Amino acid sequence: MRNAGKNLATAWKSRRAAFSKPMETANSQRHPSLRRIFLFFCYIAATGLVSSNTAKAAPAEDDDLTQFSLEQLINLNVYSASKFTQKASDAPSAVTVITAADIKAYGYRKLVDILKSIRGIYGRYDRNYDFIGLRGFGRPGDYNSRFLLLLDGYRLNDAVYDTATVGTEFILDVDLIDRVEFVPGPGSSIYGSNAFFGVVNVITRTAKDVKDVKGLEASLETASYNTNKARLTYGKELDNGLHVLLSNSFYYSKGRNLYFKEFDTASTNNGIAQNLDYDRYGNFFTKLSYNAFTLMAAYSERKKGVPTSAYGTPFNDPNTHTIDKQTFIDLQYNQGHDEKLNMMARVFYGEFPYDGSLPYTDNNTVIINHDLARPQWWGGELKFVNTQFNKHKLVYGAEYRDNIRQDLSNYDDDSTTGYSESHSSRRYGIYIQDEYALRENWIINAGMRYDSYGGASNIINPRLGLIYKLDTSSTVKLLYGTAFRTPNAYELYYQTDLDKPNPTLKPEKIKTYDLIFEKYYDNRFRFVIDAFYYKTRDLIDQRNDPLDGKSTFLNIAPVEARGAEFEAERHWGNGAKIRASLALQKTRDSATGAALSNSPELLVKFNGLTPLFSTKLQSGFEVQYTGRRDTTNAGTAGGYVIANLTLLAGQWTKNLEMSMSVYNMFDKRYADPGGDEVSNTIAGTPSGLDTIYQDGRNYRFKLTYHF
Amino acid sequence: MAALKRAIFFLALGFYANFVFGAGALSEAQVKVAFVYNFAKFTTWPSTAFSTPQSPLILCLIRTNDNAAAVFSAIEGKQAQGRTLQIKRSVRSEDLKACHILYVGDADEKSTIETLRTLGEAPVLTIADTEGFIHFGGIIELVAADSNIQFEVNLDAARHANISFSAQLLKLSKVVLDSQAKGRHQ
Repeated sequence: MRNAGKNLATAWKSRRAAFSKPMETANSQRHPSLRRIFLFFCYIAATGLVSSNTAKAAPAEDDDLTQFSLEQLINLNVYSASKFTQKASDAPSAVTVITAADIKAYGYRKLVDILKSIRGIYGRYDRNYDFIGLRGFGRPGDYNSRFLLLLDGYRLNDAVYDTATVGTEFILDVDLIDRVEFVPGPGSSIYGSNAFFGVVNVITRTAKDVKDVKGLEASLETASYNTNKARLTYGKELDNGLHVLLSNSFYYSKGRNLYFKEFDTASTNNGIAQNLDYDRYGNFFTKLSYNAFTLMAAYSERKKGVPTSAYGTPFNDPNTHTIDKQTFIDLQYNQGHDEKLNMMARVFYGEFPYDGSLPYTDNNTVIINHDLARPQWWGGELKFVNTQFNKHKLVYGAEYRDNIRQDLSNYDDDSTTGYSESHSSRRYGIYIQDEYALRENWIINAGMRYDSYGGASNIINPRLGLIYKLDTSSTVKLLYGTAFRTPNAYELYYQTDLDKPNPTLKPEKIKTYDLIFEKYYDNRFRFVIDAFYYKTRDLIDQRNDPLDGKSTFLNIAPVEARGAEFEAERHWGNGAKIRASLALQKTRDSATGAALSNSPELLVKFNGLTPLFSTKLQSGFEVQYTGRRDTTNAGTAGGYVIANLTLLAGQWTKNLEMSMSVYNMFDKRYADPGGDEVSNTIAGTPSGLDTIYQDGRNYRFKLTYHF
Repeated sequence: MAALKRAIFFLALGFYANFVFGAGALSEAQVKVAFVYNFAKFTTWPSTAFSTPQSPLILCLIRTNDNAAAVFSAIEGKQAQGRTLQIKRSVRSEDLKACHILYVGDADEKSTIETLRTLGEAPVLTIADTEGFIHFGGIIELVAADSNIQFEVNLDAARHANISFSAQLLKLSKVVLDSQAKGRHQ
């Protein structure tokens, strides 16, 4: 992933150094017709008025509840008035849950789309990998290593890059997600390393639920840029009590030819990257449950063309691509699920080989450089949830992980020699957390975890939360927590002609303070304010050494982040709901006094879901504003507003579900900051891409059939 | 900050759209009432539960808020099992035994157990949408799933109250707690 290629310095120099702000994309249309937008809204307003009028004119339909049979009622699509659980207000954080229904209604295609709808999260796409940031931290050069990504509790972050995959390389088809739970803030007191800025827990659909897959489900999608996707899922509850879920998906996107102004010279195809934005993946997932046992296995393989001349590759070279393959097997035993003492035990094995094909030019000949990583690991976990003691809820457990291989290598096609190194490591952690109901309206949540890693090194992370219920509907939470992340093999050891290793890196740490106010009205309306102060120590950051032009990872001076998030959510009885949030944040690097790169000061989000005419048709409308961000090369990526609209016909006929989505519906031209992978500074002169343009208006049409 | 202005504009637009569109569908509360009506049709009470063949079928509501109670009026006076449905709101605990159906709005563990103790073996079909209701001894629990509503039955509790259900109702129930048919469901 990552940086490679030899004689890069020359390659960069030979490139046009001039480097101005954003540029035109060859086939983008610059005229979002205001008139069309206006007409569109007139249309929506008109149809909406018609629908409310018909509803008023025919009260009989609404009133006569006696006409429905039991069977019809069970199959009737009703949107739960409130998914707010009382538990959420007791949690020592402000948790967000996105459900399968939301994924359908808003037409989400990647995990990152789901996450970006959450308060405070923003994204960055370099046309190869997707990245997320939170509370002003979205460090270019990390592969989402500061987010712990769990799949039904299994840790997906790999053993070389700590990657949390959120783009098309994510191991699971998003259609198989039952819900995504996002817990912002440090989670190291329970989860150890990586739970630095937040924990993303993806919970998969099961064959168990009656509402879910029973039998065969097939889904077909077709989308802009020659994109097609197919999925086949089979779910069955056998007579002997075995639950089976099997799913297979294939995706291919040809992509468009992209224009990059930075490379607009005759020798670099006038800035057009031809047929290089392709994206192809296949994945397989199975889950077998029998009594207390659950076996999960998954495999995914993705090949992505790299159109951005990343990692110092020649522009528009057809051989530039990356391949990510992931596999895991996880066996879980869960006893006493609804009882006072619940035990969960698991063993797992995983691997995540990465192969980059990254050509470079040497004396006018193109040589293909192979950049490889071979992470492989296994481990086990034991966890107890104990509510046997009055007023106490205890969570305790232990985790062991053996990183069997953390191998990195880099070699050229034409040579037998190259760079290669093998590493391995072990780590374990033990933790305990107690939720103690001190009084009727006071809860104390205290926990700590001890982690041992790399031989004699160890660390303790505490967490303390005070939760005070002002009355039955409002809660105040005061939270303190710490988190850490050990430097990964990539940050410690990776070296090429353009990258220097740094084996003396220390773990990075963070201290966080949150003051949260949550208010519920009538179980229909929820309001949250979260004011925070974060301070990092020894944050691991990718920096470019101006002396030799090489990238390396350093522990940097403390960085402070402060800000506030606001979120309001309202549900209506007919299934309509809206969620709006605003995040204000400021980061400050204490060494320079400046803000971090890729750190927007303002994020605004709106999500609205409403039935149209009846529950059979609904619309999901999403608007997101991301504020201006600085780039790693002192440039800027401007703020932008994106709107997406999805129409979902849920029960048009009994078995068929259709949806139509338009993304970036106002065809806004916007760019994300590039990272070190696409830009570089040689002797003070920036080159490469400072910002990367994103897709304009695009469409998707999807059909799902339940047999 | 033109972009921000636009963002606010779209936010406002979104809220507006919601109010314009927000009509035409059945609410969760309405669907629940429709369920209760169906349960009334598929339940058999002992003949002693009615004094005359013309006696109404009495549906009592306790601990429900005004909104929920208002939705129930949609089935007031409707026919079920040849009897007229009569709705009583805010019933005192000593009168609970005179109900045929008891819908508990807010059924927390403590008050539910108290109510069920008051009912004893009286032939009253208890219904609630609170999680765990059938495990505390309630008879039917309405369960809100992601996009639909289902129900679960505690058949042991029904037997205790001397009431029975049609096979169709039991077939559609997501969970049937039944100690006499070990492991059939669940």
